[in-house]
Amino acid sequence: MIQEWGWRVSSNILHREFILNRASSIRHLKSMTCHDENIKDLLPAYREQGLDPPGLDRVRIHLESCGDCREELDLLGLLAEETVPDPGEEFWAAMPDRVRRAVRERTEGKGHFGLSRVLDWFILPRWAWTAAAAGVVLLVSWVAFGPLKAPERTPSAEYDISDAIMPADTSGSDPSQISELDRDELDTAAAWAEKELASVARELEHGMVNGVDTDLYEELRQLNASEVEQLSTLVDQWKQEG
Amino acid sequence: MDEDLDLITRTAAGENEAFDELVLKYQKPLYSLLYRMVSNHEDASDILQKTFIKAFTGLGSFERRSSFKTWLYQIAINLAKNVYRDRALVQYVDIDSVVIGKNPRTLETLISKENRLLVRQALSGLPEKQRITLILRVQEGKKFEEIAGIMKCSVGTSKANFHHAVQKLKKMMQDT
Repeated sequence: MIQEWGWRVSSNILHREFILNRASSIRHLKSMTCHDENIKDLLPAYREQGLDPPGLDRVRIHLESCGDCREELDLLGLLAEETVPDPGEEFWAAMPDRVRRAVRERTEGKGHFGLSRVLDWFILPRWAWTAAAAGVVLLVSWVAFGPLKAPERTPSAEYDISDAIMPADTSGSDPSQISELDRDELDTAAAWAEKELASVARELEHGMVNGVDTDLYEELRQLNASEVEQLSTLVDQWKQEG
Repeated sequence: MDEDLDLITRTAAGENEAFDELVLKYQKPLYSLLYRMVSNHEDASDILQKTFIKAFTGLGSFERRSSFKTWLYQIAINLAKNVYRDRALVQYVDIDSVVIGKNPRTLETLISKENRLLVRQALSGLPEKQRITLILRVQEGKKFEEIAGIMKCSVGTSKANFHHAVQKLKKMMQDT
């Protein structure tokens, strides 16, 4: 029993040292680099024992004196040892049916917007996803904030203010509409108002001076006796003054 | 090879069972390659199924200049490339899964796992063509001539890709 334990322990130590040495030979030893490409081409086949006897001898003799190629052979061995887990007979047996079913679904679902098509989108390349995301961001920004600058309203030479900005009947207009006007529109409205008031003032002045539109007789008829007396006195004074 | 062409002709004539035979014939080597490329069963089996679907629906475009097997490998590798690019293939040794002290081979297992992990990580750091060439040559046992056909390059290029891959891998292993 003790002998068996001793054998197992020494066997484990030896095995451990073998693995450690093998790992370190790849990781830490830096041998002289070999440039014999012909031998290096043959190394995978040598490892697979797929060389003819002359080729086998050639590689074996080279390996005896070349640490670099021995390291490379070790590395190829490590790579080849990477096993692939077997998914099991059930998996293999089911594959033809899976393929056939998928082909049938694809054929029947052609032209339909099925779930499989949606899922297919998820394997789009990364650039496609990036472009789509950028498009969505642009669209949302445009909808949320609109164009950054409103189209300019250039006033005409005649200050033609549209009804939308300054309706003819302002009695029912909402003052908040005016507060929403920007600086350019306010300037335009001010110019329009100034022009309108100036024309009214001109008309008033014209009427007072020339009395074109004044109903003088009607006004005279409404004067009482003392006012008529006062007016006639004034007219006499204007006549005397020329 | 003639057997494949016969099965393809029968499939094209509407005999779906003929394609089943092609699936049964090539699913294992293809799965092995795909698993090595994407490092997990779910993606490997998904890409395997997609490879056969694409082959079945695209049989009309198979020009028979290369072998059916080479054509299948090309489809599988192209599909796997897309998946691999979107995956981070860093895998870690689950220390908790190793019960230290109870199993006399624990240390050995750990070192072995560590080495495999190092190789896998180094492999995933290689440029795509070099990585695939190395997998095909060393892990799948393909000859350089076959690799050239699958990768659509010359034999010289496939050898050069192999040598560059090995040199880079060695350097990466030495640096760790």
